[in-house]
Amino acid sequence: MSFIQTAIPFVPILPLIGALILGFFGKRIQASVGEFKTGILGCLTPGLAAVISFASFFVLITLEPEQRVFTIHLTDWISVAELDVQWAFRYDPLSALMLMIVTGIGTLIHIYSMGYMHDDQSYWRFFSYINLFLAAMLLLVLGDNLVIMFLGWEGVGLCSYLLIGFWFSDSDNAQAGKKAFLFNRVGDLGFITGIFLLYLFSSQHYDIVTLSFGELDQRALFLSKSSLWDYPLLEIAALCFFIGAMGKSAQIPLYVWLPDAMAGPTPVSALIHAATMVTAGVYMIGRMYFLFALAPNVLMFVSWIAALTCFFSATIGMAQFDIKKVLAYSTVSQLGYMFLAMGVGAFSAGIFHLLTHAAFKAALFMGSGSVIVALHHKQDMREMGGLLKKMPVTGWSMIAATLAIMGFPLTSGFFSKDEILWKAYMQGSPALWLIGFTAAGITSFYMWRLIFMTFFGESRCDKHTWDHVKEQPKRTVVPIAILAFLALVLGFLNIPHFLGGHSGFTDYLSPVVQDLEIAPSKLIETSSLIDTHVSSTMTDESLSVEEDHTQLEWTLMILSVLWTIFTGLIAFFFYYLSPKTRQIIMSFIWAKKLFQLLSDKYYIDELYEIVIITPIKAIFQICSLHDQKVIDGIVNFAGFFGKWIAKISAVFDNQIVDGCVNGTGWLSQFSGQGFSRLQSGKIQSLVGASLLVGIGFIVLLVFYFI
Amino acid sequence: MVNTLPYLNFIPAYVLIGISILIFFVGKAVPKISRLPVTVFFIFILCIAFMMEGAGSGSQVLFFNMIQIDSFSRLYNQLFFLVILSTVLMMSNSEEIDSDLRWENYGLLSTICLGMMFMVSSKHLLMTVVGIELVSLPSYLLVAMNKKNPASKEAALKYVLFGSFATGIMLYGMSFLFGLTGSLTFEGLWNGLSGYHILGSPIYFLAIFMTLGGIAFKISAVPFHFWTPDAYQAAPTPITAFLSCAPKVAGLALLMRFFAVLLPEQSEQMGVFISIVAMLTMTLGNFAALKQTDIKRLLAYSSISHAGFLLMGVAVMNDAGRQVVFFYIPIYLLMNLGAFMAIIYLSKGTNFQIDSYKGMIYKKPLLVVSLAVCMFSLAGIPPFAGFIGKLYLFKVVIEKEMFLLAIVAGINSVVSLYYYVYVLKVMIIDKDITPEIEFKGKPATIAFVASCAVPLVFFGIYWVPLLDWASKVVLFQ
Repeated sequence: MSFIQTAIPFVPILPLIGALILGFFGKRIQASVGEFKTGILGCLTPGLAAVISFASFFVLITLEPEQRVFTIHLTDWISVAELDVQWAFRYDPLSALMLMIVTGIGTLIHIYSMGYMHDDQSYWRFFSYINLFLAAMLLLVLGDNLVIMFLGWEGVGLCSYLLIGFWFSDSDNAQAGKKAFLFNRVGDLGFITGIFLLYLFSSQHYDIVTLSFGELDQRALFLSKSSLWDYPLLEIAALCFFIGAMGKSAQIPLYVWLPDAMAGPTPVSALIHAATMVTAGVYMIGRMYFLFALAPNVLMFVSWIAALTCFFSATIGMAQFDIKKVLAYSTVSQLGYMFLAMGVGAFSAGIFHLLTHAAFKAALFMGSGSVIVALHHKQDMREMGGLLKKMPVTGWSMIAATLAIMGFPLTSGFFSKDEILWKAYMQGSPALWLIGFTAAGITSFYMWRLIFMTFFGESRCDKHTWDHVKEQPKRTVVPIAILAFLALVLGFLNIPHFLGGHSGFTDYLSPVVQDLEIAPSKLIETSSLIDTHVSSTMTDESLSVEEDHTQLEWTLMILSVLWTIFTGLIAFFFYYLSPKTRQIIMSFIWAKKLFQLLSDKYYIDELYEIVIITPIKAIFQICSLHDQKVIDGIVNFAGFFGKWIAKISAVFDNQIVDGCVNGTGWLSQFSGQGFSRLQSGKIQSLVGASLLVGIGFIVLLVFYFI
Repeated sequence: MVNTLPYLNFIPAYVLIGISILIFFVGKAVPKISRLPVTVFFIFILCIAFMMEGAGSGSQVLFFNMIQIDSFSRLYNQLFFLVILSTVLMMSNSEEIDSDLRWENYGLLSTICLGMMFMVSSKHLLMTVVGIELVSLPSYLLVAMNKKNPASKEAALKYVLFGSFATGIMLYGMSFLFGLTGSLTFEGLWNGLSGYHILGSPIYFLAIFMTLGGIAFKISAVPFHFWTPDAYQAAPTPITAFLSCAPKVAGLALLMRFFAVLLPEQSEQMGVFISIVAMLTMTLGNFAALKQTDIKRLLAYSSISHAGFLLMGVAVMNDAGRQVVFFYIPIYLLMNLGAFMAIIYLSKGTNFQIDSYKGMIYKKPLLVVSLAVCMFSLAGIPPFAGFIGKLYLFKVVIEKEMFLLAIVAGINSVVSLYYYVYVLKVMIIDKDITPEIEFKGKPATIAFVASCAVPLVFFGIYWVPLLDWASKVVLFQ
C-alpha cells in the first residue's frame, strides 16, 4: 500500500467526521469551549485534508506520467444483475488538482469564516454545513464511478441549499435556497438520465457494468455505435450530462439561481458559488472528456451556450449595484469561458481557467465580504467609495485579483483566458472568439467599475459608518492576500509554447485529459469516417497547420490585452475621473432604457414567471378546483364524523359482544368467536395479526420443504 | 431503434380507458360537458372497449418486457368491462352514492379498470406494482363515498393503512427478489431463483411470500384479508359488490401470470404454498361468516371464502386450472352481483341486518326467488351454475392429486351452505313482524337480479358455451 492509497480515502472522510461532530454536538461544544475553539475545530478537518491532498500531489508528481492513475477500491456497494457499483476513489492528475483547489481554498475560506461569522449564534451550524459541503464536494471529485459522483453531486446541491438559506428566518434567503435547489433538480434529472442511458446500453452488450470512468473510457468507442431513436447514443447521453452541468454550473437557461444564491453568507458565495461547486460541471465534462469527444454536435452546442452565457451575464454585470451580484454575474460569465473551452475541445484550457478562476474569484468574493462586514452589512456600491485608505490589504488584494480577471499580462487570467480565446478562434469559429473577446472587455469594465466605486473616490456612506470602518482582523485578510497572490502567479504554470513556455499544465493533465486536436465542427463532417486511422492522419495535418499561426496568436493576444485595458480605462474615466460625463450620458433616454434592461437582467426571471410558473400555477388551480369538488362530500361529513365515530364504535362493540354471547351453535361459538377477536377493528391489531400469521406461514413452509 | 409509440396500436382498449379517465376528471370542471348524460357515455365507452378487446388477436410483448398482450389478458379485460358496466348500473340504482359525484366516481372506476388491465397483462414486477396501486388508490376513495354511513370514512382510512402496509411488504419482498436474481421480469425472476442453494431456503419463501402479499391483499387471501369485512360493510353497496369481484379477479389473474413461467420443481413447491393459502382462506371466510348478523359482512366473508375456492384453481398450476378459474369467474360474478343488487333493493338506510328481511318473500316474491337462486348457486347446490363451477374446480384438484385440498374444500362447501340457507330461511320461512314499509327501489333493480339468476339456472343445466369461452384463455397466445 502506497501512501496515496492509504491517505486519499481520508480526504473526504475527515470533513465528514467534522460535519458529524459539529452537527450533532456543535451546540454543546460551542456553549462549553466558546466560539473561537469551535471555529478551530471546524477548520481542523479541512486543514488536515488539505495537508493530505498536497502531500499526495507531491508524491504523485514524482511518479512516471503513465503511473499517475490510482483506483482505490474501498468496498462493494450495489451489486445486482449486471450492475456492480463499488465504493472506489480515483486519484489521478485531474482529481489531484481539484482536491488541492477544494481543500486549499476550502481551508482558507474556513479560516476566513471564523472572522466573518463572528458573533453569529449558529456559528457551529455554519461550520457543520460547510464541512459537510467539503465532504460532498470531495466525494464528487474523487468518485471513481458515475454513481458516487452523483452522490457527491447531490450532496453539494443539498449543502448549497442549506447554506444559501443559512439565515432562513429571512424569507428571501429561504426562497433563494429553494430556487437554487429547484433549478439544480432540473439539471440533476439530466445527469441521472445520462447515467441510466449509459447503464442501459452498456448492460445490453457487456456482462458487468460498473459505470466507472475507466470502464466507460474503454467502452466509449463501442457505445458510440449504438443509437437511440435514430440519434447517436453518446450524443444524447452527453447532452443529458451537459444539462446536468447547466444546472450545477449556472449556464443559460438554468443560470438564474446563482445570482439569487448570493443571499447566503459571503464565505459560502466564495467557496461554493465561485470556486468549487459551480465548477463541478466543468470538472464533470473534463472527467468524461472521452465521451464528449465522441459527441461533436453536443460540443458545438456547449460552446454556443457557453459563449452566450459568457456574453449576456457579463452585460448584466455592468448594471448591478449590489457588489455581490456583480461578482455573481461575473462568475456566471467566467463559467461560460470554461464551458467555451470545453465546447471547442480545449479541455485542459477549461480546467486551467477553473483553477485560476477559483483563486481570483474567491479572493474577490472574500474581499467583498470583508468590505461588507466593515460597512455593517451594506452591499450597495453606491454607498461605498474611498475605502482603499481604510482597508489597504483588502483593497490591494482585490485590485490584484481584478488585474487577474481582466487578463492583464502575466497575471493568471491572462494565460488562462487567452488560451481559451485562442482555442475558440482556432477550433470553434471567429464568431465564438468575437463573443468571448467582447465579453472580456465588458468583464474588465465592470470589474474596474466595481473597484472604483468601492475603493476610490469620495466616500458616499454616512459619517457614523465611515468613522467605524477599519481593516478586518488578520484571520480574514490573510487568506484574501494569499489568494490574491496566487491569482497573480498561478498563470506561470501553463505558459504556452509561443511565449516560450512548455504548457506544463496541459502536459500534467495529459495522462487523463487529452485535448481535441481538431475542431468539433470538422469532427461532425468526418463523423462517418471516425476510426483511429483517419483521426490520426487528421491530427498530423492540423499539427502542421498550427505552425503557421504563431503570428496570429500574438495578434489576438495583443488585441485582447489592448481591448481590456481600453475598457478598463473607460471605467476609470466614467467612475473616477469624471462622473459628470457619466451622468450626462445616463440622462439620455436610450441609455436609461439600456441600463434598465441590463439591471433587470433582460427580464429573464419575468419570462420564466410567464412561460413556466404561470402555466404550472394554472394547472394547480385546475387540480385544486377538482379536488375541492371530489372532497366536498367528505368535507360535508367532517362535522358529523367525530360524533359518529364514538357511536358507531359503541354499536360495533355491542354487536361483537352480542355475537359472542348469543352465538348460535357450538360451531359459531367456537370458531366465529376466535375470528371476531382478530377482527377487533383496530388497525394495529389487524396488521399485527396478519404479520403473525404470515410469519407462522413462512416457518411452516420452510419446515415443510426442508 | 426503440420507439414505443407504435405499440399503442396493440392496446386500443388501454388507450381508450386512459382517455376516459382524463375525460371524466377534466370534464367535471367544464360546465357544458358536465351536463351531458355521463352514465350513458361511460357505458358506451365500456362497450367500445369490450369490442376492441374482442377484435384483438395474437400475442405481443410490449414496452420493454413490461406488458404481455395475449388471449388471457383480452378475455379478462372483457370480464372487467362487464363488471364495471354492472357496477355502473348498480350505482345508478343506489341511494348510498351521491349522484352529483358521478363524474368523479366514473373517473375513479376507469382508473381502477386501467389498473386491473395492467395487472392481468403485467409481465414485470414494476408493472405489477403500478397496476396494484392504480387499483388500490381509487378503491380507498370509493369506499369513503358512502353518504349514508359516516363509518365509511373510518373504514376507508383503515383500508388505506392496511393497503399501504401490504404494499410496503410487497415492495420489500420485490427488493429481495431483485437482490436474489437481478431481474424484475417474471421469467428472469423464476429462472434466477432456480439455483440449488436458493430453492427452498428461508429467504426464498420470505421473498415470494412478501411479494405475493400485495396480490393477496387484493384478493383478500389469508393473512391479508383483515381489511375486508370492515371495508365491505361500510362501503356503498355497489362498491362492495365491485370490490368483491373485480380486483379479486384481477389479483387472481396476476397470480396466474406470475406463476405461469415456473420451472417444474418450483411449481410443486408453489402449488403447496398456494393450496395452504387457499385452505386457510376458505376455512376462515366460511367459519367467520357463520355468525354474522349483517348481510354485507356475511357476503364479505363469503367473498373471502370464494377467493379461497378460486385459489384452488391457481394452486394446480397448469392450463386446466387456469381455464377452470376463468370458467368459474363469470358464474361467481353473476351470483355475487345478483346478491348484492338484491340487497341494494331491500336495504333501508344503513340497516343491513339479516333480521330485518323477515317474510320478505310475501312482499317481493320475484326478487327473493332470484336472490335464492344466487344464494344456492353461491353455496354450490345443483342444478345451479355454482355447482358446476365448483365441480370443475374439484376435478382439476383431484386430477393433480391434491387430496387434502379437495377434502378441506368439500367440508367448507358443506359449512357454507348453513349461512346462505340461513339468510333464505329468514326471508322465506320466518314471519314478518315489522310494519309495512315502502321500497324506494326501481323495478330495474329486480330485472337486474333476475337477469343474473336466469343465466345461473341456464348455465347450471347447459354450461358448454361457458366452457368454450374458457378454453380460449391460454397464456401467451
